Amino acid sequence: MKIKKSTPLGHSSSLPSSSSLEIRRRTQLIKLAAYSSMARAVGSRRVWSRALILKLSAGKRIGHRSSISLSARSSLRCLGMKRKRSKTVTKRFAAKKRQLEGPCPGVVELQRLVPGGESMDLCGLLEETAHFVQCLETQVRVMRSIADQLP
Amino acid sequence: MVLPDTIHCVNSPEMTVLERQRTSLLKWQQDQGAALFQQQTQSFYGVGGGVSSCFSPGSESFMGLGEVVNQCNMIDPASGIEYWGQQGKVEVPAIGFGGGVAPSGYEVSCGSISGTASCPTTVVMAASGAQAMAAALAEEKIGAPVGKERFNKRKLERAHSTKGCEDDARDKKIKGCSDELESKITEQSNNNSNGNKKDARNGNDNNKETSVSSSKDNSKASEVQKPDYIHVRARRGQATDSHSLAERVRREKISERMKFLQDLVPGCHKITGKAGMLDEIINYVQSLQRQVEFLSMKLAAVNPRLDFDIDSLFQKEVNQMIPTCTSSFPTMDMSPELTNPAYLHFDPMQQVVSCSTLDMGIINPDMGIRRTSGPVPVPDPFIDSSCFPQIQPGPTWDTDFQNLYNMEFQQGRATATTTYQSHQQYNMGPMEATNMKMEI
Repeated sequence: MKIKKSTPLGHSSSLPSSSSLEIRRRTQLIKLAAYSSMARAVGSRRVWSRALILKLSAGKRIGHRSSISLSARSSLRCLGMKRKRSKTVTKRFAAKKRQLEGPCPGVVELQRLVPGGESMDLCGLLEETAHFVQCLETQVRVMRSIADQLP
Repeated sequence: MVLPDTIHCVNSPEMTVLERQRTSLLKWQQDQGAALFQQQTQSFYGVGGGVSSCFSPGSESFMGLGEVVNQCNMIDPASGIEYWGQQGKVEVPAIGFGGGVAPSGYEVSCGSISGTASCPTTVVMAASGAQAMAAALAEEKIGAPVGKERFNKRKLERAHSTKGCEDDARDKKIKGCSDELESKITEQSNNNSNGNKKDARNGNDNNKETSVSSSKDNSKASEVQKPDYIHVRARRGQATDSHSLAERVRREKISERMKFLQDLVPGCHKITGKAGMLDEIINYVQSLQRQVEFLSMKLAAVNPRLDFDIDSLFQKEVNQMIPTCTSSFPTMDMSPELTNPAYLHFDPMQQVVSCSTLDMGIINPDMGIRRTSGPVPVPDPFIDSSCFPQIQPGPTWDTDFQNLYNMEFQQGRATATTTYQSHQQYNMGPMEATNMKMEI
């Protein structure tokens, strides 16, 4: 597990005042940095990291404020297509059957939480969730250690 | 012979295939009776010694007879040779399927096993009489068609029921091996009636296999040998068509992943349902994301007041995380410019910003190597957030950045730069270069 130092972005020394707007903006930037560093550490090994990287880069182009909430549909569609192409006949049959029945609400919620989850079935989603959870835990630990060291 | 293994429930899904085979074989051995068992054991030990010599030319890749036998045990469970192999070594160590044995090794061993298949049977005949021979032969005959049918299912199971990349490697080897084995078994099983095979294939549950056996011993053998294959999917009353098999495989995969998640997410050992587990997982992920947000807020709030201290903080962290690094951070001065620590954190980013917005001659040549060619687009927030307009290039920065770069070089973090180069449109890239330096 890589311990990444999520470095905070930008501190304007000339403006010592900590207006709420300024703090909120900084918070967003720090959060962006944290998520992007996490995704970068994983690289393209995982679906969620790829989706997250694409989402954040797309968000950069459009506007960083909406990047986190932006659902990069195009990237997800690409990912989804890639996955479906590799399915065997039986899997496709089972997948169609599942689509007819509809996924349970928990699955939908989880798909929304995990980046790139919309294109995955429950099986892959759980695997991605496990890795995502591990990385998130690491991220939290790193940020907490940084925050603790700062007096 | 001492049978130290405890007989677990053969239907337990957590047992490996090997363990189940072994336990069921031990069960069968116990059922067969001690006297016969002893005789056969002795005979097989003798055979084992003889066969080992047969194996030796072809088995240089194996460490010893024990492993060869174990491989036999794993590879060819359908035939009586498995029984023979098991007899030879009870305490054989559980060698992983993919563990250090090349597929060619399997082929060699299979070939030699099939070649010497008749050896144990002949020796048994000599040692213990017709009864043992009939049992062994019948077992071999019956085992083959049953095993053939089972191999299909076992292949499926092996392909899906293991987790982890190590297991993926295992599965590939097993698949390759079982393919070879199927061909071997077809060579061996020339005496078997097709009816048996059909029964075995169409049977919806394991118990139908009893109809195959003719003699009492044979029925015993097939009955007792059935536990070998219970781990394969076809449970009583369940269909064996490909769709339901695939469904079952998928369900087992999902339950496996759920179990793994149960270990990850704290405090959900009591929860048994899938829906409950999903809710717990969702709650946990949401709480982790909330924690990240909270900590980022904390860092954002703390930072502006304590810029002068971040210098030492960074130095402390660097020294902690990279003990081997000959960083010259301690030589850094606490420059009066509050932006200095910012540069320590963001030196790659600064090069990005600097080359595009500011005219910072000192930094550029230092980071020229690390920088990607071509202009890097810098979004507004980065420019706003940074304090570059106020920056005065200080005398220490030159050496600082040089040191940072050297440090990174020493650690061999070429990946950071390559990542940066490959994602130059992604402005977090330079950030990641810094971050990745800190990777352990």
